Amino acid sequence: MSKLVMNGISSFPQSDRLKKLIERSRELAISGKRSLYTANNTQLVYHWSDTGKAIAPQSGEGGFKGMALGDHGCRVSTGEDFPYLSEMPSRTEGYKMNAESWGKDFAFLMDHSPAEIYPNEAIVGEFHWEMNEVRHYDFGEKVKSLGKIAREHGAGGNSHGHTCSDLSIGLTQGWGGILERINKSLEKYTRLEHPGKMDFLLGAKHCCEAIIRYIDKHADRALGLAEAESDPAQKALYLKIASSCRNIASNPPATYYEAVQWIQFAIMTDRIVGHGNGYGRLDRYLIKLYEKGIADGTLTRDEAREYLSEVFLKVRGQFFSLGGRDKDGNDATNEMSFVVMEAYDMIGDYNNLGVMWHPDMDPKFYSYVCDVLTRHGAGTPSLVNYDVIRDTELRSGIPEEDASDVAYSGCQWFCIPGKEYCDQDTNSVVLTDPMFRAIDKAVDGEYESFEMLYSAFVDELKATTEALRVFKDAQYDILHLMWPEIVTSLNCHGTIERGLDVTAHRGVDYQFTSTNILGIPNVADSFFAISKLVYEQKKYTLRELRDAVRSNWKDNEVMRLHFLKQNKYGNDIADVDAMYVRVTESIAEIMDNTYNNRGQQYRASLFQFMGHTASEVIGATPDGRRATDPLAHGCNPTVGNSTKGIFAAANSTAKADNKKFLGGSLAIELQPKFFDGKDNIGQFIENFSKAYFEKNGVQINLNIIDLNKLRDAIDHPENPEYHNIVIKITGYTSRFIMLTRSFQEEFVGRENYESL
Amino acid sequence: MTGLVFDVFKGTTHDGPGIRDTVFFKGCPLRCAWCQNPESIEAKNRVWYSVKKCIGCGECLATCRTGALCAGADGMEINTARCAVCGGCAGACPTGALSIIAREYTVDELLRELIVDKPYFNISGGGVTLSGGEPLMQSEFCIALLRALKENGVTTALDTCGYVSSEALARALPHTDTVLFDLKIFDSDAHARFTGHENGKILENARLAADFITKNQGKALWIRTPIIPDATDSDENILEIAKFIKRDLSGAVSRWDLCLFNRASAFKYASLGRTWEFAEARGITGAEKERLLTLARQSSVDEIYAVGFTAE
Repeated sequence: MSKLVMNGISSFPQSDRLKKLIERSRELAISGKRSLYTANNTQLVYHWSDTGKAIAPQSGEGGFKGMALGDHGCRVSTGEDFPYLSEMPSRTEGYKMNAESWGKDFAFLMDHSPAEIYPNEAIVGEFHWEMNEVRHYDFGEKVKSLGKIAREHGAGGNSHGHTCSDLSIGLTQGWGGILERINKSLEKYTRLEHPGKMDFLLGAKHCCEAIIRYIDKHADRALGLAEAESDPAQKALYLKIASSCRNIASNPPATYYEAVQWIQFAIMTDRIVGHGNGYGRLDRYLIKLYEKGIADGTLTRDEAREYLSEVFLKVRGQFFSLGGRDKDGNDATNEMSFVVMEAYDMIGDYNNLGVMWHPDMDPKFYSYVCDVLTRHGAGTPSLVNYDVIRDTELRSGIPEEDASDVAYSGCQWFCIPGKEYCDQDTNSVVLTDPMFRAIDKAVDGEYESFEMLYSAFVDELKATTEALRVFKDAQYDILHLMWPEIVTSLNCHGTIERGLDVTAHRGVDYQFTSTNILGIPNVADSFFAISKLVYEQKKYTLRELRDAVRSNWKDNEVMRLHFLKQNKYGNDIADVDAMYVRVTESIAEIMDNTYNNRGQQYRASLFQFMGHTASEVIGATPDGRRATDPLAHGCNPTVGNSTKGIFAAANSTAKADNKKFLGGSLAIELQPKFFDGKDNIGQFIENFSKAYFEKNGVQINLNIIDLNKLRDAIDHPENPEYHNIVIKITGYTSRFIMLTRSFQEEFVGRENYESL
Repeated sequence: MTGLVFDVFKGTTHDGPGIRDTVFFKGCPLRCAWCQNPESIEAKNRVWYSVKKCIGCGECLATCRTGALCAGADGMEINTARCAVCGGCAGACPTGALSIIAREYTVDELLRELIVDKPYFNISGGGVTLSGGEPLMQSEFCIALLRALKENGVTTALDTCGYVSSEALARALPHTDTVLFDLKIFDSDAHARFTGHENGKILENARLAADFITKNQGKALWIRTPIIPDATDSDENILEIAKFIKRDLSGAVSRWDLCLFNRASAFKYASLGRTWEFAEARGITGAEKERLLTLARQSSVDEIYAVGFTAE
């Protein structure tokens, strides 16, 4: 089986119109116009750099280029700074750290962003500049000094977006309906004299009105183009766009087509804020208007599929989920779930759809999902265990009626759409840091047992978590003023009526603090090897080990090999896997008992999206790993340490009590050869994933890749054959050639199964 | 009672239906010249050595109490006659260059390791396959394991070379859902030449298995034939086996796998200090595969597959 070429192995024919749109989208990606950047290795590991300015894609200082995370940005770069930068209200009137000032800047940016409509498009909307390029972004000295302390303890974090709005609010009320609620609420808090709430609502008013003007501007533009157009088909398309944009600028969408266009604008305007969000359960949003269109004959399934695929071509890599259950616990899969999957199947390439499986899911749908996943081989969709993620939400204290709405929303994370601001995927604990401090304590204190060492580790992890908590609390106190997520707040429950931004204390009901944990398998393997070689066999002293690790095993290769040879997590071996489970339980217990200043608990992810590639920031570890070797990726076994096949690796990862964590994906990289002799690839993955989920596994990301091609693509990105190679890199998908070289090298170095 | 097992591989898909765990038992009565698992042949456990992994640190030498281990010109040398297989050297070796081939399990230990994969078995129609070596060389243990698996609701498969006691086979069959039966070479003299034994007993056991399968619902018999260059890959051999299946196994066979030769085992022979006459042997071409598949269809078996890689 060869790697997917866009247009290659779709089950659905592409119209000429769509083919042209695909070609344009591909050109934008390959020319680097959709690339997303991060600052540097430190940012990857700690999610916080010393400047506190490192949010993608650009710092606002001009000329900034960091490490390319891939081409999954929505923004289309023109290569130029925002031309009206010096006229931004915060520059002409002076910067104020509040929501009203933020809202004015947003409105100015929208009013000065062109309405762009390209030939052949039915779904329109494209943007070039994000808020973080045009508005000052700085947490201030207090946060920075606390950030430094957190960093010294092995933690960091940078709240930005990473939540999930509920688009059903705007889809039923329209932007006009939302604006009406803002005005009403503003009136109330003005009468009741609450300046803080008035500030948020004034900001929200600026933003909502600007969005309405922006969409309306597209109607004008489309009419202008229609007048000048001689081709009747293209003219009709412009008129269709004009009528749709005119209506949905303020009103709720009346048809399926308008709803899809509405979603495109909602995501785009949210994305202009500069952050990655999930957008909820797409099949539920659209089913009613889909059924209505089919019933009254105004919509065909082919059209429904095609409009959505246009959104996928534009939105690039935003997270939607499908399936799951409804409030009564019944299967929520509907006809629209199929249409969404078909829309992806039709165009392939990258996408961040997630399918939330459960034992009662329509088997026909899940079989199709596995067929699409293996046929395209590009990591889409992610397979997620709905019952486990719902249980995680329940365990945090979210009531049943809300927990059932949970949606897979990002790399490994999930949300109650419109009701959570949980800082997913933006905070980091580097677990090796407390481990190293515990080892130092044990060396100095001449600890006689492994239990004493482990107990010191638990204490140090508590200290790290506490440093993170103090730092995060300081961020939370000012977040709604420094960088309010107003556009997201417009499609959240309670924000407008409370007069509070989604990021403000109690702006929405659920505001846990989520934390990515880097290096869990390495710490578990390290502790296991220490317990064997230092405390049981007394082959080496802890001091000898500590000194060897500090010097990256210099002149201690035999010692390193002994530590490397000890049983390793990821092979379904009871003793070492028990250490992994013990470490995860310690993390869960500490997080369960740590509360932020919103009164809500911390939750850990058995995941960290790219920190494992920046291994030199961390140094060598007692599991026999050298400083230059990558750390384990999330809860996956460290590369080279999993020798018993994917089933053994899967069994090991499923041993953690996943309901206590905010996700942790099993990443599987398969060579096409893996499937030789297997009659039905989709069936194999279907069986495998169902059994893994039955064992309590929470997520599977699957890549099918030809390693030789990838190795060659690193040095020959110009080869057109490689332009369409798409991989699921950690939690998101990207075009391989658009990644920073170190990420590419890490990816091809992963455990790769070419046979069973 | 313990069994000597040299590997437990999780998630196989060729050793019977569905997703399976395969347990490899040590010891084999045959001496097939092409054997892909040479470490399985001897019934007795032993230490083996990979010169590639050895870094020459010498930590192993001090641990040997019987003087079986010494440093030679090309790395470590093991005197297997003297070696007590105590595991001292393997434990001391930092790289795993020295290791013990097999380990002993009780039925319960093995069952615990396998039962965790029941979700994979249940969803895919898979289960556990006993392979080797020849599992029925350790018939008492294997029968006890098969029974324990069945009692725990796990379906079973037995992969046998057929050169076993008919009595042991007959006792194993009631606890076996799928029998994977090797028919390698039909001509008895050639069979003796390549495997060390004539095949009369094997054919007799094949009939016995077929008879049992026919009389018991829900059981299956698969035939497996290794396709080895210039040994088993003649048209005549495949045709004769096909005729035998059709004539003597009378409809009991539901699948026949032609397992194509590969040279991946060369490193194992090196680690055992043995030479291998197939180290440089040619692979099976696509054309040859197709021709043999066509001949095999004369057996009237419903499903016939070629498994493994062709030469090009």
